[in-house]
Amino acid sequence: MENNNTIHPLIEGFIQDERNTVFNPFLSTRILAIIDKNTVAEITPVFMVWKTALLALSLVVAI
Amino acid sequence: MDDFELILSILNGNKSDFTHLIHKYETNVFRTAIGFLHNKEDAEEITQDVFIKVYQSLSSFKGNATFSTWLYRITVNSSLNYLRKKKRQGFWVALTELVQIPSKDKQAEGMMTERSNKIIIQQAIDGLPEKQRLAFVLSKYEELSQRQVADIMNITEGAVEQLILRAKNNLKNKLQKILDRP
Repeated sequence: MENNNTIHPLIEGFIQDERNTVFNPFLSTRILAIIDKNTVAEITPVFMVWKTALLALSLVVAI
Repeated sequence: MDDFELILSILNGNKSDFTHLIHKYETNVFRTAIGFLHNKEDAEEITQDVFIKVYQSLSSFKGNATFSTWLYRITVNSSLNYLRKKKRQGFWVALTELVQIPSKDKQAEGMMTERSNKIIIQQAIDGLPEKQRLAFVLSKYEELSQRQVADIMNITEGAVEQLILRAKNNLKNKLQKILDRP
């Protein structure tokens, strides 16, 4: 039977176990890789618009 | 460099300084997330999302609060949003985790009891009213002062003290009822 004297250490033990969980040491590398990828993805649509516009212009000029 | 100097440097294009910011705070973010999610992989995902959000919205950080307060707020909101999304998607705890398998092996029985207790405690924390849970997690998992918790939650220190007290009493009462069951 659990009483007050055992409940508090149970809760504290549970919290300490979770606090001591070790995360992936390469998490920061992963974060920076995603940021770099997102930065490229933001630039690419702008580049594609210019590329399409140039292509259209060259077709008009050719005709 | 302090946080403001790091932020200015990052906004000036020095991405390497963002790495310093991540290393400085990733443990805090991860530990806060795990207090809500109780799962290493989910907490890592939230940590990742938080820092990406921070990078994307760094220019909107006005400096009204400290950077760490701002960061904790983003972490808490991200964790709670993730839990709401997960609830809507209808995730469920595997029944096998809750079933006690009768065993003559005393060590196996001991391990099952320990695991069941962990699940019970986890569910008791998750069952707290949101504000109590917030104050409890920030105070117990991150060992923040009442002043710091009050800044993050935008309430008074007195209110934080009450929330933590109620959270502790709620937990004690819930666990007492469950663990005393024959």
